[in-house]
Amino acid sequence: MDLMLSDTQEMIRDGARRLLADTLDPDMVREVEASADGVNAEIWAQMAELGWTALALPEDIGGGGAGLVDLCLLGEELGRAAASTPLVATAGFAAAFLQAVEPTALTRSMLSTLATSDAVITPALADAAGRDERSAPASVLTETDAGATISGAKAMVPCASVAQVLLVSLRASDGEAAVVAVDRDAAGVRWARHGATGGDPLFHVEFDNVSVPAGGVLARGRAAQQAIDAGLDAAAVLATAEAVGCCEGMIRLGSEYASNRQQFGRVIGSYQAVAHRLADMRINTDACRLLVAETAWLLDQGRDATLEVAGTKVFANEVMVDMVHAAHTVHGAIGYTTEYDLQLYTRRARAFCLSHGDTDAQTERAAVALGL
Amino acid sequence: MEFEFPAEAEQFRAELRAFMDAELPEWWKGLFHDDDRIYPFTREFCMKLAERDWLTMSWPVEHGGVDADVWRQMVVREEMWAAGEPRGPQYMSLNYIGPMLMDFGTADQQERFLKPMAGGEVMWCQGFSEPEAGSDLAALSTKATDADGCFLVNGQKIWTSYATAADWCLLLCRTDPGERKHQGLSMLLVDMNTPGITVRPIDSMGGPKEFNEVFFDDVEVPYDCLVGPRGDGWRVAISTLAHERVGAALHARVKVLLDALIEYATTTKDENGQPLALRPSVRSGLVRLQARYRAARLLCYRIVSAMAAGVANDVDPAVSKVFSSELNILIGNIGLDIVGARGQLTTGDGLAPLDGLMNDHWVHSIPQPIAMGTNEIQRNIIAQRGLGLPR
Repeated sequence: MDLMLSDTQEMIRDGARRLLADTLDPDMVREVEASADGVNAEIWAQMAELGWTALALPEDIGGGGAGLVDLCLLGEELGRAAASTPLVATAGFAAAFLQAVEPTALTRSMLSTLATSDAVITPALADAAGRDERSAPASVLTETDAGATISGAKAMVPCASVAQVLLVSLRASDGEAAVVAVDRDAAGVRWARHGATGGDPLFHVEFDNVSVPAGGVLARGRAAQQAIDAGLDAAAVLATAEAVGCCEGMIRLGSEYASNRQQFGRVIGSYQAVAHRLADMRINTDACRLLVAETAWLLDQGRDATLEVAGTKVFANEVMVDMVHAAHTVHGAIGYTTEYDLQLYTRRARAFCLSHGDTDAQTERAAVALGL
Repeated sequence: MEFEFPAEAEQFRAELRAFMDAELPEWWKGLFHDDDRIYPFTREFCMKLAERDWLTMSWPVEHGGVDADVWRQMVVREEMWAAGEPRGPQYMSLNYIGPMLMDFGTADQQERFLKPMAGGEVMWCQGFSEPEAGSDLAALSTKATDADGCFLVNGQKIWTSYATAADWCLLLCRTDPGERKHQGLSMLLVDMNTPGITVRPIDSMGGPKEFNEVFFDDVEVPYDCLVGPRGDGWRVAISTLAHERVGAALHARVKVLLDALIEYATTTKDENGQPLALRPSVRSGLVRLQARYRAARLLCYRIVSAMAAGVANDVDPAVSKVFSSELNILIGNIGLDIVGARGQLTTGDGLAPLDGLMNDHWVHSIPQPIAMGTNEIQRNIIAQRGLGLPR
């Protein structure tokens, strides 16, 4: 048992913090959020150049040979900076999914692309008509002698406008689930950005009789479901790490504000009603960070960590909803304005609680894993 | 990072559990129960632990320990707290009174007091709180004045656990006037058999023996029972309290209760013949508790990891204490809701679910956010030293 970061892990964390401090300020966060793609493309390219986006991929394909634990350190720093990147979709979901399916020439090539470039591969799972990523898809895969095509509509696809490949979950003609890799530029793929409270780059993507290249069906049936679960679990843990970074942003802003703002002749941070809210934010953020680290470690060890992934998400959802409002309460009216930075963090944190498995969905998974 | 105990620590846990299964009598329900057999049993139990070198494992060899790995020591803390602390009051001397003597005691004091502690023979109590000095500990007024070749102690302590059984008392009192209230305090080691000491048990929700008042009326304490520099008792006390908070494995009891609740919910059927475990509220409650149990455990391990790496700080123990004590409150309440109406029936009543375990835990959880430095004080520490907020 050792909960201290190694020297290498501290270097990853400090390096990421320096890079983000040097290259990203809150005004840029606002610009990116308002842009068509909604992604910090330059930072993502720089991170890929430095090998950070491939940190958890195996060394023999050009990755960093580290694990999700290390990737989560990076994620937390992105959250602290309120950066918007495809890290969760690509280094989280796609990397874990592609390593979980039966390897083919195509999956090997996609993994190698992820390890050596800033290419974005992103999941398209939740049907426009469904509830979330784990709901059975209504979009269909049609296979004939002439080839396979897909049709349907997906909601809340991350980073679709900058993606090269979409990993689309579908219902095959036999009724079984299937996951297909589709070029985002293929004929019949159309996308439009959702407005979303967290400012995340989420897209509505339509597939109109889109041709699937040979070998494009990556997994079917139970194997498809298991690979999706592997991808979603890695994404959920990594997204929680980013949300922990958002909480750190709220704590930083709240502590600064409470240390300077005076009312009734005193700095408001000297009132326990204010100070104790911030102390609770510290406590729950630390708890989330440790749960993320342990869960990531278990996944890195190849253990079944359904209980830990789902339980961590349930806990994070619960405490982060409280933290968002605690942070706003500490700041008073100024925190509600868009010119102040607090909302960059609180909108993201609240949206996080609804993403990657909401409380009901993850509670049910954890309950089953707990033997209930 | 590494999230597993060393294999040899787990091996040791198995040995320790087997030993406890054999040694803990049927009637044992935990330290804070009303049963005259408890204190004598805990003394015998500690002496048996000492025979196996399991009592003062983390102590240095020169003081009767075996310099054990910190994780082995954590195993002891967890297993003992999970079982209702069968070491009795002695966890205090092992976890912090002994280490305090190692830090501040003279060679003679170490020779005289540490050996009996390491042998499991002696019980200590801690005389810090007073009626007018709770969270504001430094406001205490019990005085030790100079008499004929010794101190003469007069005053009153309160909330002194185990005082009816203790052989010795670690007493924080005022020896000298100071410009500030933190000055002029001194730490004394007081033989509880000295004439002039009166112990009055305070009947509490947790039973008639959990807390006491201790009155000191012209109690003579030899000068060689002063620990640390005279007038510098505050520094000694702070160091002692820091050891105290590190020692707590409050999460370990939560695991016992959680396992009991999961078993209860999966095996108990409601009036429709459905297991309670199928109720959404029960599922949600148990999942929330399980995640919080993990977090409490990791927050505790973070303190130990930092200590082992030589980078301990004041804030992590405060974070851990607040989280774990509040989790103990939460599991008492969720647990009572799960067992339902009969949850209010007390231990021994044939109709009490889990033999009154949840009710018993609920009662004994009430002091947890108050004891060992109230959670309000801990939050002040987090806000001021952790976040840099002004006082």
